[in-house]
Amino acid sequence: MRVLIAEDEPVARRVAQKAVQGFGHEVEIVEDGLAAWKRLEEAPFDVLISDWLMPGLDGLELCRRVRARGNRPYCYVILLTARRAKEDLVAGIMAGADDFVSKPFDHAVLRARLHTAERVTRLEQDLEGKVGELQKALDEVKTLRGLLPICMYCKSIHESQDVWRRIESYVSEHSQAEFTHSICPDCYEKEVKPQLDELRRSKRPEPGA
Amino acid sequence: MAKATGNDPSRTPVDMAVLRQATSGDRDLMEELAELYLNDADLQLRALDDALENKEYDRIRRIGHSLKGSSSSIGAGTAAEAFKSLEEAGRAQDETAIRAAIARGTAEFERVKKALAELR
Repeated sequence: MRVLIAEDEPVARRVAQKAVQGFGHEVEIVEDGLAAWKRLEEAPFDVLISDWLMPGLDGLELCRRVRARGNRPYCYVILLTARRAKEDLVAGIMAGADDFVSKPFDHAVLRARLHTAERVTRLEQDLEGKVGELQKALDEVKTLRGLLPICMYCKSIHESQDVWRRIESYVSEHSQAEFTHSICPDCYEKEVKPQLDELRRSKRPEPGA
Repeated sequence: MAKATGNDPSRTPVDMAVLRQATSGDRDLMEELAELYLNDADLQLRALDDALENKEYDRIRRIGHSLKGSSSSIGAGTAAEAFKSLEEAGRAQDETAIRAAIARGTAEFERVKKALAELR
């Protein structure tokens, strides 16, 4: 996973960076909330591990901004904190944090939390892929709707100012339907049969010829 | 509880178990962290003088918070306690307490420095 670590305290930052790299993830580090926000706007990260108290932009505000972006690839947020009060936990969750790790952190705990992060981000990515496929399918489905002005006699469709299109070409262009021509029984009786009769009559030898 | 203004020689300045845990026993990383800590703490302590002179209490509180965090990351528990009292004194804008906490923090920092020097 691509992991961004935002921590202003240099020792904790280096410890976190080394640990997360050691778990096999790709890690970038920044020194405060504003720098983290800048990086998050520039590139996608699967996980953000952020300190709670930082100069400029604190972990809570950073979290709110990440969630306010909405329809981006999901970024799993872990807040690093020494806070254990119930109110802090609620504030963190309400800001959009997915998980909390207390400082100074335990390697095994952080590793386990990242394991959860990986599972959740994978689910989110699968879901995003499915939504994308559905959207693509929906975009390809053309529908005919609205009021179509049609000629009462020849059934041509009034497309624009002076353009009247034959109904077959209009429907083909505005939907996924295609035409295969044939003749209905009524039209056979009304149109085709008289023409055939006429043809037969014209081929019959004239009496006395 | 009596406010300690001096250091506490009976307690170890750096808990090596914490440092080992943070580095998974990686000796090079331990040394690197020690250097990071010492440089950062030195800078912050120097900034404290300036902040105190200008009565920038919020800055003092933030420096106290930061030093508390880095001391605790490196396993320097007694220094972390001293800087926690600095953070609190800064929040309370109590100049006497701030001076006492700075004196205690500086003394603890010196002990940590010695202990970390033995790492090398």
